[in-house]
Amino acid sequence: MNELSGPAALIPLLMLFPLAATIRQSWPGPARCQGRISNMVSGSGWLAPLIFIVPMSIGLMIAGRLSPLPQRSYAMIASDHGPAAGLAAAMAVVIAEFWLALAPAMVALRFSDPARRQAMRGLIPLNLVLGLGFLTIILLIWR
Amino acid sequence: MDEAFVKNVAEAIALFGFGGGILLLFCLIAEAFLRHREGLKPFSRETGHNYLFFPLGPIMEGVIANTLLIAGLTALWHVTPLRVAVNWWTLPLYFLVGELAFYIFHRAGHELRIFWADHSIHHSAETYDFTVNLRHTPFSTVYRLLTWSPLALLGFHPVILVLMAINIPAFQTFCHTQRIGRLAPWFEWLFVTPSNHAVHHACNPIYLDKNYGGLLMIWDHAFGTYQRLEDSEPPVFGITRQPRSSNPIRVLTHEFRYLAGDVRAAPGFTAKLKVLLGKPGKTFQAEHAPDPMVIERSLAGR
Repeated sequence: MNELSGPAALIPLLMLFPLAATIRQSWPGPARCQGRISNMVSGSGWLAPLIFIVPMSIGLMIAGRLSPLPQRSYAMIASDHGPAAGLAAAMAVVIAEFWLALAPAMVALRFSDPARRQAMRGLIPLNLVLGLGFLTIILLIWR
Repeated sequence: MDEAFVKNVAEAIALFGFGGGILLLFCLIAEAFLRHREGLKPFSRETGHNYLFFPLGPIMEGVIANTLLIAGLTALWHVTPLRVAVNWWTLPLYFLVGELAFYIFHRAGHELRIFWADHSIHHSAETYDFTVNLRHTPFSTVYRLLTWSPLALLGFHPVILVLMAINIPAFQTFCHTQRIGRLAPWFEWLFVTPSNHAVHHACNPIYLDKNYGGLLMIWDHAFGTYQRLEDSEPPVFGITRQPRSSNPIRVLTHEFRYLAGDVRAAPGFTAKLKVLLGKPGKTFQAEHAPDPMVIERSLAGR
């Protein structure tokens, strides 16, 4: 057993911020949230750690070390590394799932050239199909 | 050196690479889908080349070349008494050095003609979309080995160095698109983004040999090669001596043929060496018959 201890036990708490930033990016119309507190809690700066978290979580899902089901990921990691690590893993899974199934399409749409936006609306259903399809395959393989 | 820790880190970076690969696959599907929605052919002549050159990366590099690269660097690492430990506290250092290694390798690929002949294959795409990621080149391992040797001699662990310098800068995979505009200014300053990587792929004179970074732009800021995308200067993608052939072999050998002609015609050994190691566009050039399948842009030689 190699539990998270000391400041590392705060990782699940810190993961709340990238999760909030991810939800904000996945939600239509985040431009309405421009308050100082909402920018502090869910600002785009919190997306930077996702460069590591998202591909890593997907890689771990492929390897069967994490489950697409957050509660199962929690159980898998908590048994070896304690509840704090389990919670961090479950949150990483939720974040990765947003980025697999919805967030890229929403971000692409938001930052797209207005002239191309109509064509890009189709990205949302495509993203959902690809992301959920991938997660289903992983679930079926590692059930 | 804790070999178990090294093994864990190597495995973690490999898993990171697999995860990134899934996201790249999604991007490629989205690219074909969006081209269809925009009334374009999902696969053009150029995207065909991009897919065709893909095995040069994961098959040739991933299976053979990277093993040789790690073996070569390990041989050098065993020669030096210096060691940079691999542990939690040195991983950030390895990350930064990996970024530096990518920067040096990438810059050598642009600024030494012998390497540009190879790297120009990736840049000779005139479109800038996700499929350009697939446009791999056959000899990049050679200049990776040459440019990363000093780092192995400084004691950086070869496996971690190679994984950090290849897998993490692969983030720029997601930047090969014109469909996303400029992001937050701080993000553009710090990270490789679609717009500052568009600069890297453009052949406008102000954009040439800029923005070599992999994941971060910090080494470009440090070495003065950062250039933001200017609204007044839309990027023209491709290279200054642009191949337009539909023959993939001609595209692969395009700059090599010019290089061979120039080396052959250069008078004397020193002049030949200067052609090989000089900056593209600045070296001796032989007279070449005009080629209808080649477009000469503003600067000769690139």
